[in-house]
Amino acid sequence: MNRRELLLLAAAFLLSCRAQVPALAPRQFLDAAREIGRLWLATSGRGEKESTLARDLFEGVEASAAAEVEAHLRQLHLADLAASRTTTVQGWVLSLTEARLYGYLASA
Amino acid sequence: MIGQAREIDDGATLDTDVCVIGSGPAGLALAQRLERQHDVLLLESGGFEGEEAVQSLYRGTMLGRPYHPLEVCRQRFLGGSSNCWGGLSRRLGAEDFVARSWVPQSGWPLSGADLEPWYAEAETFLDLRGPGWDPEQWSFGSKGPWPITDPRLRSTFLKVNPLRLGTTMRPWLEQSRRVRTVLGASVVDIRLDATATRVERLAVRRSHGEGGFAVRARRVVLACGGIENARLLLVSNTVQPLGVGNTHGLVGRYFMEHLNTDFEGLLLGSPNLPDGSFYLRQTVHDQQLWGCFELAADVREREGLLAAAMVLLPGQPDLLMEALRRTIADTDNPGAALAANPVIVSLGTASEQAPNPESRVVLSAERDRLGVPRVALDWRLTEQDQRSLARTHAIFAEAIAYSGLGRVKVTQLPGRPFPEHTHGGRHHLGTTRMHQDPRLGVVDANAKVHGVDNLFVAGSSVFPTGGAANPTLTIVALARRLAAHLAEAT
Repeated sequence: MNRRELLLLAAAFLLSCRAQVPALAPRQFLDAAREIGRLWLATSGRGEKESTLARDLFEGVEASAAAEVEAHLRQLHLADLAASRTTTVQGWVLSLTEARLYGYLASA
Repeated sequence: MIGQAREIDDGATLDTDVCVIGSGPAGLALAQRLERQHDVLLLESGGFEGEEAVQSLYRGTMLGRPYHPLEVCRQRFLGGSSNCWGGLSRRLGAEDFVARSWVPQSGWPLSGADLEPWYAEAETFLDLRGPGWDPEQWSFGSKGPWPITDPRLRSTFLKVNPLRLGTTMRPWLEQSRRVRTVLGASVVDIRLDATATRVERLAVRRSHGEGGFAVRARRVVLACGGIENARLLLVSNTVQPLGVGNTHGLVGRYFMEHLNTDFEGLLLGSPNLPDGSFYLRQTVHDQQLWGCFELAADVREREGLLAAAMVLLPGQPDLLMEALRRTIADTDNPGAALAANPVIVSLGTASEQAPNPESRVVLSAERDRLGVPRVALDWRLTEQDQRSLARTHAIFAEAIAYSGLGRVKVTQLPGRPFPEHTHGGRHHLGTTRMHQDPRLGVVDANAKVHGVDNLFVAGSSVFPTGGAANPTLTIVALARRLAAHLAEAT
Protein backbone atom coordinates (compact mmCIF):
# COMPACT_ATOMS: atom_id res chain seq x y z
CA MET A 1 0.00 0.00 0.00
CA ASN A 2 1.60 3.23 -1.04
CA ARG A 3 1.38 6.60 0.62
CA ARG A 4 -1.40 7.85 -1.61
CA GLU A 5 -3.49 4.72 -1.02
CA LEU A 6 -3.08 5.06 2.73
CA LEU A 7 -4.18 8.63 2.58
CA LEU A 8 -7.25 7.76 0.59
CA LEU A 9 -8.11 4.89 2.91
CA ALA A 10 -7.73 7.12 5.90
CA ALA A 11 -9.99 9.63 4.29
CA ALA A 12 -12.43 6.84 3.58
CA PHE A 13 -12.64 6.14 7.29
CA LEU A 14 -13.44 9.74 7.88
CA LEU A 15 -15.75 10.20 5.03
CA SER A 16 -17.08 6.75 4.30
CA CYS A 17 -16.90 7.57 0.67
CA ARG A 18 -15.04 4.35 0.24
CA ALA A 19 -14.06 3.56 -3.32
CA GLN A 20 -14.86 6.95 -4.65
CA VAL A 21 -12.91 9.05 -2.24
CA PRO A 22 -11.34 11.45 -4.73
CA ALA A 23 -14.64 12.12 -6.39
CA LEU A 24 -16.86 12.30 -3.35
CA ALA A 25 -14.62 13.67 -0.68
CA PRO A 26 -15.54 17.28 -0.32
CA ARG A 27 -12.48 19.32 0.22
CA GLN A 28 -13.95 20.77 3.37
CA PHE A 29 -13.89 17.37 5.06
CA LEU A 30 -10.21 16.91 4.52
CA ASP A 31 -9.51 20.50 5.41
CA ALA A 32 -11.34 20.06 8.66
CA ALA A 33 -9.49 16.88 9.52
CA ARG A 34 -6.17 18.50 8.68
CA GLU A 35 -7.00 21.52 10.81
CA ILE A 36 -7.58 19.31 13.81
CA GLY A 37 -4.51 17.27 12.95
CA ARG A 38 -2.27 20.31 12.75
CA LEU A 39 -3.48 21.52 16.11
CA TRP A 40 -2.92 18.12 17.64
CA LEU A 41 0.56 17.77 16.23
CA ALA A 42 1.43 21.26 17.40
CA THR A 43 0.17 20.78 20.93
CA SER A 44 0.50 17.11 21.75
CA GLY A 45 4.24 17.34 22.25
CA ARG A 46 4.66 13.94 20.70
CA GLY A 47 6.60 15.14 17.68
CA GLU A 48 5.20 12.29 15.67
CA LYS A 49 6.16 11.94 12.07
CA GLU A 50 4.00 10.86 9.22
CA SER A 51 5.69 7.48 9.03
CA THR A 52 5.14 6.83 12.70
CA LEU A 53 1.52 7.81 12.43
CA ALA A 54 1.01 5.57 9.45
CA ARG A 55 2.62 2.67 11.28
CA ASP A 56 0.43 3.18 14.35
CA LEU A 57 -2.66 3.43 12.22
CA PHE A 58 -2.15 0.77 9.62
CA GLU A 59 0.33 -1.73 11.01
CA GLY A 60 -0.88 -5.27 10.48
CA VAL A 61 -3.52 -4.32 7.99
CA GLU A 62 -2.95 -6.35 4.90
CA ALA A 63 -6.12 -5.74 3.09
CA SER A 64 -6.17 -2.95 0.64
CA ALA A 65 -9.94 -2.68 0.63
CA ALA A 66 -11.07 0.56 2.15
CA ALA A 67 -13.86 -1.12 4.05
CA GLU A 68 -11.45 -3.37 5.85
CA VAL A 69 -9.12 -0.53 6.70
CA GLU A 70 -12.08 1.41 7.93
CA ALA A 71 -13.14 -1.50 10.14
CA HIS A 72 -9.60 -1.75 11.44
CA LEU A 73 -9.49 1.92 12.32
CA ARG A 74 -12.89 1.81 13.91
CA GLN A 75 -11.78 -1.09 16.08
CA LEU A 76 -8.71 0.86 17.17
CA HIS A 77 -10.86 3.93 17.81
CA LEU A 78 -13.31 2.05 20.06
CA ALA A 79 -10.54 0.18 21.86
CA ASP A 80 -8.83 3.50 22.57
CA LEU A 81 -11.97 4.97 24.07
CA ALA A 82 -12.71 1.92 26.19
CA ALA A 83 -9.16 1.97 27.54
CA SER A 84 -9.03 5.76 28.00
CA ARG A 85 -6.30 6.09 25.38
CA THR A 86 -7.42 9.56 24.55
CA THR A 87 -5.98 12.96 23.87
CA THR A 88 -7.43 16.43 23.84
CA VAL A 89 -7.34 19.09 21.16
CA GLN A 90 -8.43 22.41 22.58
CA GLY A 91 -10.29 20.45 25.22
CA TRP A 92 -12.09 18.11 22.81
CA VAL A 93 -11.58 14.52 23.83
CA LEU A 94 -10.55 12.33 20.89
CA SER A 95 -9.37 8.77 20.71
CA LEU A 96 -5.66 8.48 20.02
CA THR A 97 -6.50 6.78 16.74
CA GLU A 98 -8.69 9.69 15.68
CA ALA A 99 -6.02 12.17 16.56
CA ARG A 100 -3.35 10.18 14.76
CA LEU A 101 -5.52 9.96 11.70
CA TYR A 102 -6.06 13.70 11.67
CA GLY A 103 -2.35 14.20 12.29
CA TYR A 104 -1.51 11.84 9.47
CA LEU A 105 -3.79 13.68 7.09
CA ALA A 106 -2.28 16.98 8.15
CA SER A 107 1.25 15.82 7.54
CA ALA A 108 0.68 13.70 4.45
CA MET B 1 -53.44 26.11 64.18
CA ILE B 2 -51.01 28.85 63.28
CA GLY B 3 -50.18 31.61 65.70
CA GLN B 4 -47.63 34.35 66.18
CA ALA B 5 -44.85 34.68 68.75
CA ARG B 6 -46.13 38.14 69.65
CA GLU B 7 -49.37 36.54 70.88
CA ILE B 8 -47.51 34.55 73.51
CA ASP B 9 -46.93 36.25 76.86
CA ASP B 10 -43.43 37.46 77.46
CA GLY B 11 -41.65 35.03 79.77
CA ALA B 12 -44.28 32.32 79.35
CA THR B 13 -43.35 28.66 79.12
CA LEU B 14 -45.02 26.43 76.56
CA ASP B 15 -45.16 22.73 77.28
CA THR B 16 -45.39 20.23 74.47
CA ASP B 17 -44.70 16.66 73.57
CA VAL B 18 -42.45 17.30 70.57
CA CYS B 19 -41.00 20.63 69.57
CA VAL B 20 -39.82 20.91 65.97
CA ILE B 21 -37.59 23.87 65.22
CA GLY B 22 -37.93 24.93 61.60
CA SER B 23 -40.74 24.58 59.06
CA GLY B 24 -38.80 23.60 55.95
CA PRO B 25 -39.20 20.27 54.16
CA ALA B 26 -37.75 18.33 57.11
CA GLY B 27 -39.79 20.08 59.79
CA LEU B 28 -43.07 19.89 57.90
CA ALA B 29 -42.61 16.25 56.85
CA LEU B 30 -41.85 15.41 60.44
CA ALA B 31 -44.72 17.38 61.96
CA GLN B 32 -47.24 15.95 59.54
CA ARG B 33 -46.37 12.39 60.45
CA LEU B 34 -45.95 13.08 64.17
CA GLU B 35 -49.46 14.52 64.26
CA ARG B 36 -50.84 10.95 64.24
CA GLN B 37 -49.56 10.32 67.76
CA HIS B 38 -48.22 13.53 69.25
CA ASP B 39 -48.90 17.11 70.10
CA VAL B 40 -46.34 19.09 68.18
CA LEU B 41 -45.11 22.64 68.59
CA LEU B 42 -43.64 23.83 65.30
CA LEU B 43 -41.49 26.94 65.67
CA GLU B 44 -40.70 29.05 62.63
CA SER B 45 -38.51 32.12 62.82
CA GLY B 46 -40.16 33.85 59.86
CA GLY B 47 -43.71 34.54 58.86
CA PHE B 48 -45.82 33.63 55.86
CA GLU B 49 -43.57 35.58 53.51
CA GLY B 50 -39.89 36.41 53.37
CA GLU B 51 -38.82 39.55 55.20
CA GLU B 52 -35.47 41.27 55.13
CA ALA B 53 -35.43 41.75 58.90
CA VAL B 54 -35.74 38.03 59.52
CA GLN B 55 -33.71 36.89 56.53
CA SER B 56 -30.80 39.01 57.73
CA LEU B 57 -30.48 36.73 60.76
CA TYR B 58 -28.88 34.32 58.31
CA ARG B 59 -26.05 36.63 57.31
CA GLY B 60 -22.57 35.26 57.79
CA THR B 61 -19.03 35.57 56.58
CA MET B 62 -16.76 33.45 54.40
CA LEU B 63 -13.42 32.07 55.51
CA GLY B 64 -12.76 29.59 52.71
CA ARG B 65 -13.82 29.37 49.08
CA PRO B 66 -16.26 31.98 47.85
CA TYR B 67 -19.84 30.91 48.47
CA HIS B 68 -23.36 32.18 48.01
CA PRO B 69 -24.31 34.86 50.53
CA LEU B 70 -25.75 32.90 53.43
CA GLU B 71 -28.86 35.06 53.63
CA VAL B 72 -29.60 34.32 49.97
CA CYS B 73 -29.03 30.59 49.63
CA ARG B 74 -31.74 29.59 52.13
CA GLN B 75 -35.09 30.98 53.20
CA ARG B 76 -36.30 31.77 56.70
CA PHE B 77 -40.10 31.71 56.58
CA LEU B 78 -42.90 29.17 56.50
CA GLY B 79 -41.82 26.39 54.16
CA GLY B 80 -38.15 27.15 54.76
CA SER B 81 -35.86 26.58 51.83
CA SER B 82 -38.62 24.91 49.82
CA ASN B 83 -39.32 28.57 49.03
CA CYS B 84 -36.22 28.65 46.83
CA TRP B 85 -36.16 24.99 45.86
CA GLY B 86 -35.75 23.93 42.25
CA GLY B 87 -37.87 20.86 42.92
CA LEU B 88 -35.23 18.40 41.69
CA SER B 89 -35.67 15.01 43.31
CA ARG B 90 -33.73 11.82 43.09
CA ARG B 91 -32.98 9.00 45.49
CA LEU B 92 -29.51 8.27 46.69
CA GLY B 93 -28.26 5.01 45.22
CA ALA B 94 -27.66 1.97 47.39
CA GLU B 95 -23.92 2.46 46.80
CA ASP B 96 -24.09 5.97 48.29
CA PHE B 97 -24.85 4.54 51.74
CA VAL B 98 -21.88 2.18 51.77
CA ALA B 99 -18.45 3.07 53.13
CA ARG B 100 -16.03 3.40 50.21
CA SER B 101 -12.39 2.61 50.79
CA TRP B 102 -11.33 5.45 48.48
CA VAL B 103 -13.48 8.05 50.25
CA PRO B 104 -12.33 8.50 53.85
CA GLN B 105 -15.13 8.89 56.41
CA SER B 106 -17.75 7.82 53.87
CA GLY B 107 -20.81 5.67 54.45
CA TRP B 108 -23.97 5.80 56.47
CA PRO B 109 -25.08 3.76 59.46
CA LEU B 110 -28.13 2.96 57.31
CA SER B 111 -28.53 1.07 54.08
CA GLY B 112 -30.49 2.06 51.04
CA ALA B 113 -32.95 -0.71 51.91
CA ASP B 114 -33.47 0.81 55.38
CA LEU B 115 -34.63 4.01 53.75
CA GLU B 116 -36.70 2.41 51.00
CA PRO B 117 -40.14 2.63 52.70
CA TRP B 118 -39.44 6.21 53.78
CA TYR B 119 -38.47 7.20 50.27
CA ALA B 120 -41.89 5.94 49.17
CA GLU B 121 -43.57 8.13 51.80
CA ALA B 122 -41.38 11.06 50.88
CA GLU B 123 -42.35 10.76 47.23
CA THR B 124 -46.00 10.96 48.19
CA PHE B 125 -45.29 13.93 50.45
CA LEU B 126 -43.49 15.75 47.63
CA ASP B 127 -46.16 14.74 45.10
CA LEU B 128 -43.75 12.89 42.83
CA ARG B 129 -45.58 10.77 40.33
CA GLY B 130 -45.21 8.05 37.74
CA PRO B 131 -43.50 4.67 37.87
CA GLY B 132 -40.23 4.11 39.68
CA TRP B 133 -36.70 5.32 39.09
CA ASP B 134 -35.64 2.94 36.34
CA PRO B 135 -36.07 4.51 32.89
CA GLU B 136 -37.16 1.07 31.67
CA GLN B 137 -40.34 1.46 33.71
CA TRP B 138 -41.45 4.51 31.74
CA SER B 139 -43.03 4.80 28.34
CA PHE B 140 -40.83 7.32 26.62
CA GLY B 141 -41.42 6.24 23.04
CA SER B 142 -38.88 7.98 20.84
CA LYS B 143 -38.02 10.44 23.61
CA GLY B 144 -36.16 8.01 25.80
CA PRO B 145 -32.52 7.83 26.87
CA TRP B 146 -29.83 7.69 24.22
CA PRO B 147 -28.51 4.23 23.35
CA ILE B 148 -25.27 4.30 25.32
CA THR B 149 -23.16 1.31 24.37
CA ASP B 150 -20.32 2.05 26.77
CA PRO B 151 -21.16 0.25 30.04
CA ARG B 152 -19.32 2.88 32.06
CA LEU B 153 -22.08 5.44 31.54
CA ARG B 154 -25.81 5.23 32.18
CA SER B 155 -28.80 7.50 31.90
CA THR B 156 -31.09 8.23 34.77
CA PHE B 157 -33.39 11.12 35.63
CA LEU B 158 -34.58 13.58 38.21
CA LYS B 159 -38.23 14.16 38.99
CA VAL B 160 -39.06 17.83 39.09
CA ASN B 161 -41.81 19.34 41.24
CA PRO B 162 -40.84 22.59 42.96
CA LEU B 163 -43.44 22.62 45.72
CA ARG B 164 -43.62 25.65 47.96
CA LEU B 165 -44.47 23.75 51.10
CA GLY B 166 -45.35 26.82 53.13
CA THR B 167 -48.13 27.49 50.65
CA THR B 168 -49.27 23.95 49.94
CA MET B 169 -49.29 22.88 53.59
CA ARG B 170 -50.65 26.06 55.11
CA PRO B 171 -54.29 24.90 55.00
CA TRP B 172 -53.34 21.73 56.84
CA LEU B 173 -51.32 23.66 59.42
CA GLU B 174 -54.24 26.03 59.98
CA GLN B 175 -56.65 23.13 60.48
CA SER B 176 -54.41 20.87 62.51
CA ARG B 177 -55.48 20.34 66.11
CA ARG B 178 -52.29 18.63 67.19
CA VAL B 179 -49.69 20.73 65.40
CA ARG B 180 -49.41 24.23 66.79
CA THR B 181 -47.32 26.44 64.54
CA VAL B 182 -45.81 29.60 65.96
CA LEU B 183 -44.41 32.09 63.48
CA GLY B 184 -41.88 34.78 64.31
CA ALA B 185 -40.30 32.52 66.93
CA SER B 186 -36.51 32.29 66.81
CA VAL B 187 -34.87 29.71 69.04
CA VAL B 188 -31.67 31.22 70.43
CA ASP B 189 -30.55 28.67 72.99
CA ILE B 190 -30.94 24.97 73.69
CA ARG B 191 -30.54 24.71 77.43
CA LEU B 192 -29.44 21.35 78.79
CA ASP B 193 -30.08 20.15 82.32
CA ALA B 194 -27.25 19.99 84.82
CA THR B 195 -26.30 16.48 83.71
CA ALA B 196 -26.05 17.67 80.10
CA THR B 197 -28.01 14.62 78.99
CA ARG B 198 -31.41 16.20 78.35
CA VAL B 199 -32.75 19.36 76.85
CA GLU B 200 -34.41 21.18 79.70
CA ARG B 201 -35.89 24.05 77.75
CA LEU B 202 -35.54 26.16 74.68
CA ALA B 203 -35.10 29.91 74.82
CA VAL B 204 -37.18 31.56 72.11
CA ARG B 205 -36.96 35.18 71.03
CA ARG B 206 -39.56 37.02 69.03
CA SER B 207 -38.07 37.58 65.60
CA HIS B 208 -39.66 41.03 65.56
CA GLY B 209 -39.45 43.27 68.58
CA GLU B 210 -38.40 42.40 72.07
CA GLY B 211 -38.97 39.58 74.49
CA GLY B 212 -39.70 35.95 74.13
CA PHE B 213 -40.74 32.78 75.85
CA ALA B 214 -39.52 29.32 76.75
CA VAL B 215 -40.47 25.85 75.56
CA ARG B 216 -40.35 22.66 77.57
CA ALA B 217 -40.66 19.58 75.39
CA ARG B 218 -40.29 15.87 75.94
CA ARG B 219 -38.42 15.70 72.64
CA VAL B 220 -36.86 18.40 70.53
CA VAL B 221 -36.04 18.12 66.84
CA LEU B 222 -33.72 20.58 65.14
CA ALA B 223 -34.83 21.08 61.56
CA CYS B 224 -33.35 24.46 60.72
CA GLY B 225 -31.18 23.54 57.76
CA GLY B 226 -27.64 22.32 57.26
CA ILE B 227 -25.93 25.46 58.52
CA GLU B 228 -28.39 26.63 61.16
CA ASN B 229 -28.61 23.25 62.89
CA ALA B 230 -24.88 23.44 63.59
CA ARG B 231 -25.08 27.11 64.56
CA LEU B 232 -27.77 26.49 67.16
CA LEU B 233 -25.86 23.60 68.70
CA LEU B 234 -22.67 25.64 68.83
CA VAL B 235 -24.22 28.76 70.37
CA SER B 236 -25.95 26.71 73.08
CA ASN B 237 -22.87 26.56 75.27
CA THR B 238 -24.14 27.44 78.72
CA VAL B 239 -23.82 23.93 80.13
CA GLN B 240 -21.33 22.47 77.69
CA PRO B 241 -18.72 25.07 76.73
CA LEU B 242 -18.16 23.63 73.26
CA GLY B 243 -21.87 23.55 72.55
CA VAL B 244 -24.50 20.86 72.59
CA GLY B 245 -23.48 17.52 71.11
CA ASN B 246 -20.00 18.79 70.47
CA THR B 247 -17.97 16.77 72.94
CA HIS B 248 -15.73 15.59 70.13
CA GLY B 249 -15.60 18.87 68.27
CA LEU B 250 -17.53 17.58 65.27
CA VAL B 251 -20.45 20.02 65.15
CA GLY B 252 -20.05 22.22 62.09
CA ARG B 253 -17.31 20.10 60.56
CA TYR B 254 -17.63 18.10 57.34
CA PHE B 255 -19.60 20.81 55.58
CA MET B 256 -20.22 19.44 52.10
CA GLU B 257 -21.90 20.72 49.00
CA HIS B 258 -22.76 19.42 45.58
CA LEU B 259 -20.23 21.09 43.37
CA ASN B 260 -21.89 22.74 40.43
CA THR B 261 -19.59 23.23 37.49
CA ASP B 262 -21.95 24.28 34.76
CA PHE B 263 -20.62 24.92 31.29
CA GLU B 264 -17.55 22.82 31.98
CA GLY B 265 -17.93 20.98 28.74
CA LEU B 266 -19.63 20.92 25.38
CA LEU B 267 -21.25 18.02 23.65
CA LEU B 268 -21.29 18.08 19.88
CA GLY B 269 -23.83 15.59 18.68
CA SER B 270 -23.20 13.23 15.80
CA PRO B 271 -25.66 13.27 12.94
CA ASN B 272 -27.12 10.04 14.22
CA LEU B 273 -27.79 11.47 17.64
CA PRO B 274 -31.34 10.47 18.64
CA ASP B 275 -33.96 12.83 19.96
CA GLY B 276 -32.61 14.54 23.07
CA SER B 277 -35.92 15.24 24.80
CA PHE B 278 -35.04 12.86 27.60
CA TYR B 279 -32.20 15.14 28.67
CA LEU B 280 -34.29 18.27 28.50
CA ARG B 281 -37.28 18.67 30.73
CA GLN B 282 -40.28 16.71 29.57
CA THR B 283 -43.52 15.63 31.17
CA VAL B 284 -44.34 11.94 31.12
CA HIS B 285 -47.02 10.19 33.19
CA ASP B 286 -48.03 13.61 34.55
CA GLN B 287 -44.55 14.09 36.01
CA GLN B 288 -41.86 16.44 34.81
CA LEU B 289 -38.55 14.67 34.35
CA TRP B 290 -35.02 15.80 33.63
CA GLY B 291 -32.72 13.15 32.25
CA CYS B 292 -29.11 13.04 33.35
CA PHE B 293 -26.04 10.85 33.17
CA GLU B 294 -24.04 9.10 35.83
CA LEU B 295 -21.11 6.72 35.84
CA ALA B 296 -21.82 3.11 36.73
CA ALA B 297 -21.07 2.27 40.37
CA ASP B 298 -18.43 -0.33 39.45
CA VAL B 299 -16.55 2.26 37.39
CA ARG B 300 -16.54 4.69 40.29
CA GLU B 301 -15.20 1.95 42.51
CA ARG B 302 -12.54 0.87 40.02
CA GLU B 303 -11.43 4.42 39.32
CA GLY B 304 -11.82 5.69 42.89
CA LEU B 305 -14.31 8.38 41.97
CA LEU B 306 -16.94 10.34 43.83
CA ALA B 307 -20.53 10.42 42.62
CA ALA B 308 -21.62 12.90 39.97
CA ALA B 309 -24.67 13.62 37.87
CA MET B 310 -24.30 15.33 34.53
CA VAL B 311 -27.02 17.26 32.77
CA LEU B 312 -27.18 18.97 29.41
CA LEU B 313 -27.66 22.70 29.18
CA PRO B 314 -27.86 25.15 26.27
CA GLY B 315 -24.42 25.52 24.71
CA GLN B 316 -22.46 27.83 22.48
CA PRO B 317 -20.20 26.58 19.71
CA ASP B 318 -16.48 27.06 19.96
CA LEU B 319 -13.78 27.56 17.35
CA LEU B 320 -12.86 23.96 16.70
CA MET B 321 -16.42 22.75 16.66
CA GLU B 322 -17.00 23.37 12.98
CA ALA B 323 -14.04 21.24 12.02
CA LEU B 324 -15.12 18.48 14.35
CA ARG B 325 -18.66 18.62 13.08
CA ARG B 326 -17.41 17.78 9.63
CA THR B 327 -15.20 14.92 10.68
CA ILE B 328 -17.30 13.12 13.26
CA ALA B 329 -20.24 13.16 10.94
CA ASP B 330 -18.56 10.27 9.28
CA THR B 331 -16.48 8.69 12.00
CA ASP B 332 -19.52 8.01 14.09
CA ASN B 333 -21.94 7.15 11.37
CA PRO B 334 -20.43 6.08 8.07
CA GLY B 335 -22.54 7.15 5.18
CA ALA B 336 -24.60 9.65 7.10
CA ALA B 337 -25.10 13.07 5.72
CA LEU B 338 -23.26 15.86 7.40
CA ALA B 339 -25.29 17.13 10.30
CA ALA B 340 -26.98 20.26 9.15
CA ASN B 341 -27.93 21.30 12.65
CA PRO B 342 -25.60 19.59 15.05
CA VAL B 343 -26.62 19.35 18.65
CA ILE B 344 -24.46 21.63 20.74
CA VAL B 345 -25.06 21.49 24.43
CA SER B 346 -23.10 22.39 27.50
CA LEU B 347 -22.34 19.96 30.25
CA GLY B 348 -23.48 20.78 33.76
CA THR B 349 -22.32 18.63 36.63
CA ALA B 350 -23.40 18.24 40.22
CA SER B 351 -20.69 16.27 41.92
CA GLU B 352 -20.20 14.87 45.35
CA GLN B 353 -17.75 16.49 47.72
CA ALA B 354 -15.69 14.11 49.83
CA PRO B 355 -16.21 14.41 53.61
CA ASN B 356 -13.59 16.82 54.89
CA PRO B 357 -13.36 17.84 58.56
CA GLU B 358 -11.57 21.07 57.63
CA SER B 359 -14.57 22.24 55.61
CA ARG B 360 -16.74 23.65 58.33
CA VAL B 361 -19.18 26.08 59.87
CA VAL B 362 -17.87 28.01 62.87
CA LEU B 363 -19.19 30.87 64.95
CA SER B 364 -18.01 34.37 64.19
CA ALA B 365 -17.44 37.15 66.69
CA GLU B 366 -20.33 39.12 65.21
CA ARG B 367 -23.81 38.72 66.62
CA ASP B 368 -27.18 39.09 64.95
CA ARG B 369 -29.98 41.37 66.07
CA LEU B 370 -31.16 38.75 68.57
CA GLY B 371 -27.71 38.49 70.12
CA VAL B 372 -26.87 35.13 68.56
CA PRO B 373 -23.35 34.69 67.16
CA ARG B 374 -23.38 34.63 63.38
CA VAL B 375 -21.73 31.87 61.40
CA ALA B 376 -18.58 31.90 59.33
CA LEU B 377 -18.36 29.34 56.57
CA ASP B 378 -14.99 27.82 55.78
CA TRP B 379 -15.85 25.84 52.66
CA ARG B 380 -12.91 23.82 51.42
CA LEU B 381 -12.43 21.45 48.55
CA THR B 382 -9.72 18.88 48.15
CA GLU B 383 -7.51 17.51 45.41
CA GLN B 384 -9.69 14.40 45.46
CA ASP B 385 -12.77 16.46 44.62
CA GLN B 386 -11.00 18.02 41.65
CA ARG B 387 -9.40 14.85 40.37
CA SER B 388 -12.66 12.96 40.58
CA LEU B 389 -14.56 15.59 38.64
CA ALA B 390 -11.93 15.78 35.90
CA ARG B 391 -11.81 12.01 35.50
CA THR B 392 -15.61 11.76 35.52
CA HIS B 393 -15.80 14.25 32.67
CA ALA B 394 -13.13 12.36 30.75
CA ILE B 395 -14.99 9.06 31.07
CA PHE B 396 -18.22 10.77 30.04
CA ALA B 397 -16.46 12.08 26.94
CA GLU B 398 -15.04 8.66 26.12
CA ALA B 399 -18.39 6.94 26.58
CA ILE B 400 -20.23 9.44 24.39
CA ALA B 401 -17.68 8.99 21.61
CA TYR B 402 -17.65 5.21 22.06
CA SER B 403 -21.43 5.16 21.67
CA GLY B 404 -21.19 7.14 18.46
CA LEU B 405 -23.19 10.00 19.91
CA GLY B 406 -20.71 12.82 19.43
CA ARG B 407 -17.64 14.38 20.96
CA VAL B 408 -17.24 16.20 24.23
CA LYS B 409 -15.07 19.14 25.10
CA VAL B 410 -13.90 19.20 28.70
CA THR B 411 -12.28 22.08 30.48
CA GLN B 412 -11.84 20.43 33.85
CA LEU B 413 -8.55 18.61 33.49
CA PRO B 414 -6.57 16.72 36.13
CA GLY B 415 -4.28 18.92 38.15
CA ARG B 416 -6.00 22.16 37.33
CA PRO B 417 -7.64 24.16 40.08
CA PHE B 418 -11.40 24.36 40.14
CA PRO B 419 -12.63 27.11 37.85
CA GLU B 420 -13.65 30.32 39.56
CA HIS B 421 -17.29 29.77 38.75
CA THR B 422 -17.41 26.48 40.67
CA HIS B 423 -20.14 26.94 43.18
CA GLY B 424 -22.38 24.90 45.39
CA GLY B 425 -25.91 23.79 44.67
CA ARG B 426 -27.12 25.45 47.90
CA HIS B 427 -27.11 22.03 49.49
CA HIS B 428 -25.68 22.23 52.99
CA LEU B 429 -24.65 18.80 54.10
CA GLY B 430 -22.77 17.05 56.85
CA THR B 431 -22.41 19.52 59.74
CA THR B 432 -24.10 17.19 62.27
CA ARG B 433 -23.10 13.98 60.57
CA MET B 434 -24.68 10.64 61.37
CA HIS B 435 -22.46 7.93 62.80
CA GLN B 436 -22.96 5.27 65.43
CA ASP B 437 -19.65 6.16 67.06
CA PRO B 438 -19.91 9.45 69.01
CA ARG B 439 -16.27 10.12 68.19
CA LEU B 440 -17.12 10.13 64.50
CA GLY B 441 -20.59 11.58 64.36
CA VAL B 442 -22.89 14.08 66.06
CA VAL B 443 -26.07 12.01 65.76
CA ASP B 444 -26.68 8.28 65.83
CA ALA B 445 -28.54 6.20 63.24
CA ASN B 446 -31.84 7.40 64.71
CA ALA B 447 -30.74 11.01 64.32
CA LYS B 448 -30.49 11.44 68.10
CA VAL B 449 -27.69 13.68 69.27
CA HIS B 450 -25.09 11.51 70.96
CA GLY B 451 -25.22 11.97 74.71
CA VAL B 452 -28.48 13.95 74.78
CA ASP B 453 -31.50 11.74 75.30
CA ASN B 454 -34.24 13.94 73.91
CA LEU B 455 -32.59 15.94 71.14
CA PHE B 456 -32.79 14.91 67.48
CA VAL B 457 -31.69 16.43 64.19
CA ALA B 458 -33.54 16.39 60.88
CA GLY B 459 -32.25 17.63 57.57
CA SER B 460 -29.21 17.37 55.36
CA SER B 461 -26.83 18.23 58.19
CA VAL B 462 -27.01 14.56 59.21
CA PHE B 463 -25.73 13.31 55.83
CA PRO B 464 -22.34 11.70 56.51
CA THR B 465 -21.82 11.31 52.77
CA GLY B 466 -23.41 13.40 50.09
CA GLY B 467 -23.80 11.27 46.97
CA ALA B 468 -24.78 13.27 43.92
CA ALA B 469 -28.56 13.22 44.26
CA ASN B 470 -30.32 16.46 45.16
CA PRO B 471 -30.95 16.09 48.87
CA THR B 472 -34.54 17.18 49.52
CA LEU B 473 -36.13 13.78 48.82
CA THR B 474 -33.68 12.11 51.21
CA ILE B 475 -34.21 14.86 53.79
CA VAL B 476 -37.95 14.17 53.73
CA ALA B 477 -37.45 10.39 53.81
CA LEU B 478 -35.18 10.72 56.85
CA ALA B 479 -37.69 13.03 58.53
CA ARG B 480 -40.49 10.51 58.04
CA ARG B 481 -38.24 7.78 59.40
CA LEU B 482 -37.41 9.92 62.43
CA ALA B 483 -41.09 10.63 63.03
CA ALA B 484 -41.83 6.91 63.05
CA HIS B 485 -38.95 6.35 65.45
CA LEU B 486 -40.24 9.03 67.82
CA ALA B 487 -43.69 7.45 67.70
CA GLU B 488 -42.27 4.03 68.52
CA ALA B 489 -40.21 5.46 71.36
CA THR B 490 -43.27 6.88 73.10
